[in-house]
Amino acid sequence: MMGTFPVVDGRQWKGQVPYLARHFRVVTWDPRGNRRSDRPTGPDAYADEVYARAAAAVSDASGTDAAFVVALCPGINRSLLLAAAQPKRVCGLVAIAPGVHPLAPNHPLETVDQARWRGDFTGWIDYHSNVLLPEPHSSKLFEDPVGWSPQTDADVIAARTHAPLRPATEDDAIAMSQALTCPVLVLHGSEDKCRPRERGERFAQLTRGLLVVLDGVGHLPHGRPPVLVTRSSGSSSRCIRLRCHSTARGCSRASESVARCGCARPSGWAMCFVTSPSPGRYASRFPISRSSGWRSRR
Amino acid sequence: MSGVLQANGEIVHPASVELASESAHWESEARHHDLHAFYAFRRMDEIFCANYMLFDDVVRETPYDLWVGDESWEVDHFLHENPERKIAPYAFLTDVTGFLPIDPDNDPREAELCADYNAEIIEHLDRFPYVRDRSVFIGDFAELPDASLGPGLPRVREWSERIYSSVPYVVPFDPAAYRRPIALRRRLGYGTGYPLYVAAVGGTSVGRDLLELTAEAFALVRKEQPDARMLMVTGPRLHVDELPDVEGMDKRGYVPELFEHLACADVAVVQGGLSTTMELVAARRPFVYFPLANHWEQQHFVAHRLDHYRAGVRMQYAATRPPDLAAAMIAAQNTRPAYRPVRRGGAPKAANHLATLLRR
Repeated sequence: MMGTFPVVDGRQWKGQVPYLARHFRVVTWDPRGNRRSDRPTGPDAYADEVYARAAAAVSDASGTDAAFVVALCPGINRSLLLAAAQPKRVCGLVAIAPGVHPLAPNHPLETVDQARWRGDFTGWIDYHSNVLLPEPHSSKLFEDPVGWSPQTDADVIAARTHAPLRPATEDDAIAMSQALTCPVLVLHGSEDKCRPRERGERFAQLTRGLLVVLDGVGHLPHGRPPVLVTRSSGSSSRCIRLRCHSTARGCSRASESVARCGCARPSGWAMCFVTSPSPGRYASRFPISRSSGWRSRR
Repeated sequence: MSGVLQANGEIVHPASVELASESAHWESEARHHDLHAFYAFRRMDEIFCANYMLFDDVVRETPYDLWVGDESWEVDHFLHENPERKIAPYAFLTDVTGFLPIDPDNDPREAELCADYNAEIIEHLDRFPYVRDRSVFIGDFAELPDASLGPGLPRVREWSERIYSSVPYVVPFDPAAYRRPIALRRRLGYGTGYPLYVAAVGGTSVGRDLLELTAEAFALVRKEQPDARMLMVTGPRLHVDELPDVEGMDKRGYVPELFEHLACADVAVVQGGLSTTMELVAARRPFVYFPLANHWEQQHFVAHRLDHYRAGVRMQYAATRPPDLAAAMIAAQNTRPAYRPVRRGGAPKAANHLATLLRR
C-alpha cells in the first residue's frame, strides 16, 4: 500500500488492510513527512523519485520481491517510477485518482503556503479535507485526516507541494504509462475535486487498464465506499475475474440491481458506474459542520 | 459468545475467530461506568468494515438460504452501500431504531451527527427497500421513545412503524413458568428464608465499577440483614479475583441460564442493558439498574422501555454512594412489582417472519 501525500499516514488504508491481510501479505508505510517517517526540509526531499526510492527500500526491508501496488494520487507517480526502475517489482497496480498531472490539468486547489492559510494550518486542513470529501454522511471520514494532520505541519506540506514531480512532462507521462506492462485497475470518483476524472480515463487508456468510475464519490474512494475498493483491490491482486456491478447514474431500481459488467483481466478500458453515495432527500438539509474545532470535544 | 452458542449446540462458523473484536473496542472506550456509545460506535468504522468483509466472504463460500442480522449494523450499512453484494434473502432484527443525542444542549455536535447518521439510514432504506426482505422490531412500538430523529426527520416511533414489523419482546423463557421464586430457589439450591440479591453486568468488563460499588453496598446491606446473600456474576471478561470478597457474596464468572437466578432474586442489581432488565420485567422481580452514562441506547431506548413497563429503580452511577445503593436494594426488596405484562409469542412471530422468507 503505497504512501501518498503526507497529509495522511499509512492508516488511510484501514478499510482495506484487514480484508487484504486475510488473503495476502500486506505492507503499509507512512510517507515521508508523516507519522513515523522522517521530516527533512526543502522540496527536493519530497520529490516523487525520493518516495519511489523509499518504496523500494521498504520492499527490500520487508523482503518483498514483487507486489501488487495499491496507490492513491501521487502514489501512482511513485509506482510508475518504481516499475520503471524495477519492472518485476510491480506485478499489478490499483491506481486510485491518479496524480500523474501532465495527463490532465489539476483542479485548482489552494496551497498551504498561500497568504490566506499562512499561520492557519488547521484551517487549511479543514479546507483541504472538505475538498477531498464531497460525499454526504462522511463526517467520520473527514475527521480521520483532520485527526492525523497534527503528525505533520505546514512546512512539510508546502515542501511536498513544491517538490519536483515525475513524470514531469506529457511525453514523459505517456511513455511511463505505456511502459507499464502489468495489469492496471484505475478507480476514480466522478466527484473528485482534487484530480480530474479525465486523467483517470487517460491513464487507464495508456496503461490498457480497466477504469471504474465511482459515481458520486470524491477523491478518497477507499474511505467512502471501502468495500468496493477493497474487493476490487483483492480481486485484481489475484488477477482473477474482476467484477464490477454497475449502475447507471439516476437509473431505476431494477437496473441498479442487475446491470453488471465484467472482464477476465484488464485489457482496453471500460467505464462502470457503481452505486453512488449521492445525497438522498435529507442529505442536502444536513450540511454537517466540518471543522477541526469539533475535534477537541471527543 | 462463541462458547455459549456452542454449549447450546449451535454451529459457530470457524471464520468467527477472524472477526475484529467489538467487545475489546467497547471496553477501551468505557471509563467508570461511562461509555459514550454513539462516539464509540463512530470510531468502530474500521472494525465494521473488516467484519463486513469477512461476512461478505463467508456468504460467498456457502450459499445460505437466509441471512439473519441481529443488530448487524455493519452488514446492514454496507449492504445498503453496496446493494449488489446481496445474494440471499436478508432479515434485520433490532430493538433500537435510531441514534438519539445524550446532551444536545452542551454538545450540539453530537446532536448534529446523530441526525446525520439517522438521515443516512433513512435514505438507505428509502433508496434500496429491496435490500432488507424483512425488518423486525423486537417489542411493541409503544416501547420506543417518541423522540425526533433529527431536525426535519421523522420521529422514532412514526418512522419505525413505517419500516418495521413489530413482534412482542423475546425472553429466553416462558414467564409463566417462573412465577414461583421460592420453588425456583429450592430447585437451584439456594434454599429460602433469607434475602437473595443477584448482581450481573453482562459480558464485558465495562461493569467493573458497578460491581465494585455493589460489593461495597452489599457489605452495608449485610449489617442490616446479616443473613442476606448475593450472587455476583462477573462475566467472562472480569476475573472473580479482581473484585472484593464480601461475607455472604458468591462471585462467579459465568452462570448458565442466568435468567433463572434473576427470576428468583429478591432484588437484582444490573446495568441498563435491555436483555437482562427485560428478563427481570418478564419474571416480575424487583431490580435496581444503572444505565451507562452517555450510552444513548441505555439512557433513551432501554430507560423508556422500562418506564413503559413501569419497571425498575433507575440510578446513576456517578451520583450513587454505597449507602445509597444499599438503601435502594433494601427498599426494593420490600416492593411487589406491578409491571405491565410482557406480551408472549415474540419468538414464534419473529420465526414466522423468517420462515416466510425461506418459503419464497
